[in-house]
Amino acid sequence: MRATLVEKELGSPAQSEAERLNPSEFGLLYERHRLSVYRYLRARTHSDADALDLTAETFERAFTGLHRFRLRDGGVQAWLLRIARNAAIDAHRRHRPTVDLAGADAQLGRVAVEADRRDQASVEILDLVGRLPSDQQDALLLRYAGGLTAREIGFVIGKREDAVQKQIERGLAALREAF
Amino acid sequence: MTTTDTIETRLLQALSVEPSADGLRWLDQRIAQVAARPVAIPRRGLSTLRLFLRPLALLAAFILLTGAVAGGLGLLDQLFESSGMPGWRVAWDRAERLDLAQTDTGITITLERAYADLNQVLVGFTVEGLEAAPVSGHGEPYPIEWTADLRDPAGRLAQEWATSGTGTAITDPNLSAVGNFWEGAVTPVAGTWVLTFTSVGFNAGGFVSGECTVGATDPACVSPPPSAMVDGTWRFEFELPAPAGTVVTPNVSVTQGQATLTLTQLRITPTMITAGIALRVAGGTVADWGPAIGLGPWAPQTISIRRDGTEYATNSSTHVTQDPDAQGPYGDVNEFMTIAGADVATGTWEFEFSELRYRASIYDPIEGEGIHLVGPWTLTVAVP
Repeated sequence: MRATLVEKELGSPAQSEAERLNPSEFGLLYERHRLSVYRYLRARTHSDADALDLTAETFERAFTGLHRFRLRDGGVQAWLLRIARNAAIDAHRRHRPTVDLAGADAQLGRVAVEADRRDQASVEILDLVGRLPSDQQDALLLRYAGGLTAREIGFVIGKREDAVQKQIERGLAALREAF
Repeated sequence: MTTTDTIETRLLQALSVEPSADGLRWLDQRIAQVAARPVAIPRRGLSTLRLFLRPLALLAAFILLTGAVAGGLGLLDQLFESSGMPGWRVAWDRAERLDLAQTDTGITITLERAYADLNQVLVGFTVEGLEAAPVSGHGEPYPIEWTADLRDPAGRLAQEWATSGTGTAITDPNLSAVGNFWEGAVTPVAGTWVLTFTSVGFNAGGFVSGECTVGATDPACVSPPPSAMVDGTWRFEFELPAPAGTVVTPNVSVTQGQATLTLTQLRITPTMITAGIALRVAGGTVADWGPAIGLGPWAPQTISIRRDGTEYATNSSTHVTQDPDAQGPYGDVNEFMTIAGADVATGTWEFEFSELRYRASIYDPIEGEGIHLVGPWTLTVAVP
């Protein structure tokens, strides 16, 4: 029998409980998912500090909303990244008056500006991703920073799996052509 | 979709960033405090909060070991050096050197060192002979896992006295190094400790991390790697001196409004300060409580433990009295633990909470985050 994420994290609970997250296991949930949440948010923010702030906010929201989790909504990681995405959008709205951005899309390329720990190829590819349409950016970040499948991404952004797959493929094709 | 494409590989590499060590430490502590809030289901006797620190240690250790293979003791040295936990480092430096090895089913566990004070017991060990760790859906190797029973000189199993437990580990291709801690009121006598491992390995659940949900069709989800845990018996006996530390039971209280906090016990050891603090609310029931947390980055902490002006950072707490009907006269007890200790206990200790949240019933919903109380409450005790 194939194990699911929730079953693993909650220690194989009874079937009737498998769709609920137990607050006492929140530490394990955080441990497992903090890096993917951070990476997704790091790609959407200007700095390590902003990404850490939003990562903390994501897990705070998740903790206070554990009772709202439903397995049928895409699984734990998709649920967390949906919260993270909303937190990033909220933060962008809050910061809009003080940040010189054309829109949320413009944030992505700014990651590349901080090239202190990245090679030139990484800088270039993130610059290119930052120029893609926002729906393609979203899909690529959730896939390659957040580690979600196309189906899970569909739960996050409210699209069908095949539509997400097309966005990913179009985004990758655009990157191949430009790189 | 494949992940072997050059562009995909470059994209993955570009996005595979790590947070700064300081930032990660802040995040771990912050989430530990968030998780210490009142919740709808009582925490288990063995808290998982300390597990937050393990990834930090793993991450730092992997960075240190890039391109280098170290011997067992060197690996453990690096593990504790990079843990970011001053108390752990002290425990490791002061631990008794044991160098005891046991082999079963082709796997050798070597007990390198052990340490005990009145707050925690540390065992540092290495594991050789395991198959290579399977790689998760995120391309990261699964961490080593182990199952062990610890019996103290009084004959008690750790489950009888430890309120929480945690581990920090590192794996290179040939060797794993582990630091296993048990936290709680350690028996104050010298004598023989018995540690028995019953399984060790990787990927206990045969599970692909992060990728799989019901209905997922990825090959890694359909056919996840099998559990690589190995059952066996690796039994060790070792002697430790009487644990260091000072325990006081001041039972000092301070009241603000309807809420009274009481410092019921203080354990001061070289590796950790543990404060048992109870909350009682006049005319009400306290089923669970914790310091309130502010929102946003670098939010001010709502709990402070200090001695003569020196601050001791806390990073976790354990809910001691799970059953409201079993509470003593001071109410519901939490133990708050610091990341560093003190060799000398004397001085004036202060424990300050600026804001609290509590729940009147463990069945109360989470969304309200409990009942919010504003202080401050400052408990002061002079240890001669």
